[in-house]
Amino acid sequence: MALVDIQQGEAVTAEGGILIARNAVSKGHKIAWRDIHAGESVVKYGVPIGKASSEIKQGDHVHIHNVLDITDELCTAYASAFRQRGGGEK
Amino acid sequence: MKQVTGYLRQKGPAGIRNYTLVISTVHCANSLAQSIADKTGSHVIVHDYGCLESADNARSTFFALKNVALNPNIAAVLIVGLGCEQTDRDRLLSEIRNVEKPVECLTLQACGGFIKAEELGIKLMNEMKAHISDKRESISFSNLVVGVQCGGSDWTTALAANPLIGALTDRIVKAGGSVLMGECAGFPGSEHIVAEHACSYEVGLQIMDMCDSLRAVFFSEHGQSLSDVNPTPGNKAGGITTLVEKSMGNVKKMGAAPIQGILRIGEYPPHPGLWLLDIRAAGPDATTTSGFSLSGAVMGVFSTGRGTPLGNVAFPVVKLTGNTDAYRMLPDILDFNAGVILEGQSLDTTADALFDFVLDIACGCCSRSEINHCFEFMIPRDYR
Repeated sequence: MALVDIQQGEAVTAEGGILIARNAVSKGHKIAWRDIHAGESVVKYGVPIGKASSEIKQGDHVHIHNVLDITDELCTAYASAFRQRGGGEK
Repeated sequence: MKQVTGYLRQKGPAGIRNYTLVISTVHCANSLAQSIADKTGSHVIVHDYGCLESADNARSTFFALKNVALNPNIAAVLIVGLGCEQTDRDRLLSEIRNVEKPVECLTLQACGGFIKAEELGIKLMNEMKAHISDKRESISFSNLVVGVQCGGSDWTTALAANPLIGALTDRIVKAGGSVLMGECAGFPGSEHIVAEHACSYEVGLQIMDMCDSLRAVFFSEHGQSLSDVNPTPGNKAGGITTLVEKSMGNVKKMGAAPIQGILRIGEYPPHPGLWLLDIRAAGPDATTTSGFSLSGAVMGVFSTGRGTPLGNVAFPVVKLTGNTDAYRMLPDILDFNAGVILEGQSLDTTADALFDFVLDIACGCCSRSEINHCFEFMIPRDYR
C-alpha cells in the first residue's frame, strides 16, 4: 500500500526491494509487488482480498479496474472449512 | 496500574459518570423534554417514535429507552410524556425503580400545559440531582466495559488506528475489563480470522453462523450481495478495493484476546473479556454506539480517519485517528493521534499511552465528545 502519492515511472522501495510504478498511485492505494495473472488471487494482509480480473504487471495500480470482489466465494469456503474441521484441532 | 474511580450504584455495575437523563416517551413530548434537559444540565433523548407504532417497533422503542436509562453512567432519570402516547410510561418507571435508580415521571397533559410541566420537570430533576453523591470511589476494573468501533475510515484506519485499538483491547481485557465489538456486518471476508479468536470451537461456529445468516438475510431482502454495496464509493476512492480488504481492517480492533461469545443488544457481558455484540444494522455510526449503551458500555473508543464528532448520551467516546493531517485539521473533535505509528513510533508504546489516556477519561477527565456536548442516541431497529 502506498504511504505517499506515487508518480508514474517513480522508483518505489518496499520490503527491501525496488520497483518502478507503471501508473500514478495515490496514498492508501495498492501497487502490485509482482506480476499477477488474470484469475490469480490478489493477496494483502496475507489473505486473498480478490481475484485479478486482467493481467496485472509489477508496478501496476491495483484496484477495482483489475480486481474482482470474490468475498461471497471466500466466505462460503471459510465457513465450510471451519465446519469440516470440527472442534478437535486448531 | 492506575486505579479506576467511579460511582457505585444501588444495584448493578458501577458507572464512571453521573449523567442525568431526560427521556421523551413520544415525539409529541420532545420539545418539553429538551427544554427541561437544557435548563437542568441533563442529557436528553428525543426521537420520532412512541406512538402509532407496530407492536414489534413499539417493543424496540420501549426496550431501548429502558436499557439506556439502566446504563450504569446514568445517575437519575426524568421520564417526560404527553399523556396519551403508546409508550408504557408506568412500566418504564417501575423497571427503572427496580434497580433503585432515582427516577420521576410527568406528562404534559396531567400537568396542565407546557409551562407547568416544564416547571415541575425542572424541580423534580433538580431535587434528584441534589441527592446524587459526586464523590468518586475506587471501583473494580470489571466495571470498565468499553465499546470499540470505527467510522469515517480512510487508508490509515487499517494500518494504524484499528491495530492500536486492538492493542488497547488486549490491555483492557488483561486488566480485567470488558470490550464490546459490534459492526458484525463488517466481518464477512474475515470471519475465519474472527472465528479463530473464539474461546471455543462452539463460539467459533456461532460466529460463522452469524456471518452466513447476515449475508443471506441481506441478499434475500435486497437481491444484492453485501459486497455489491460495501466498500462504499468513499472507501474505494480511498483505495479499498473489496469487502474482504475492508473487513480485514475492521477486525484488527479485536486484538489478540479470545472472544468469549456473542451478546444480543441489551445483554451485559456475563463475565469480563472480549465480546461480540450482534449489531448487524448498516446504519450510521450512532447505531452501533447506541447498541453499546444498551449493553452496559460505560465508554466508547472510536477510530476515524476522516474525522467525526460522534459521542453518546450514556458515555464518553474517545476518538483517535491514524491520520496525522486529520488530527491537526480537527483538533477539537479528535482525542488521540495514532498517526505517530506511521511515523515510526512502536505500536506497544502508543498503546500504553492510549491505555493511560483511556483510564484518565474513565476517572473523570472529559473526552472531546463531552466537551462538545455530543450526546447522540438512536433507537436501534434492526436487532435480534
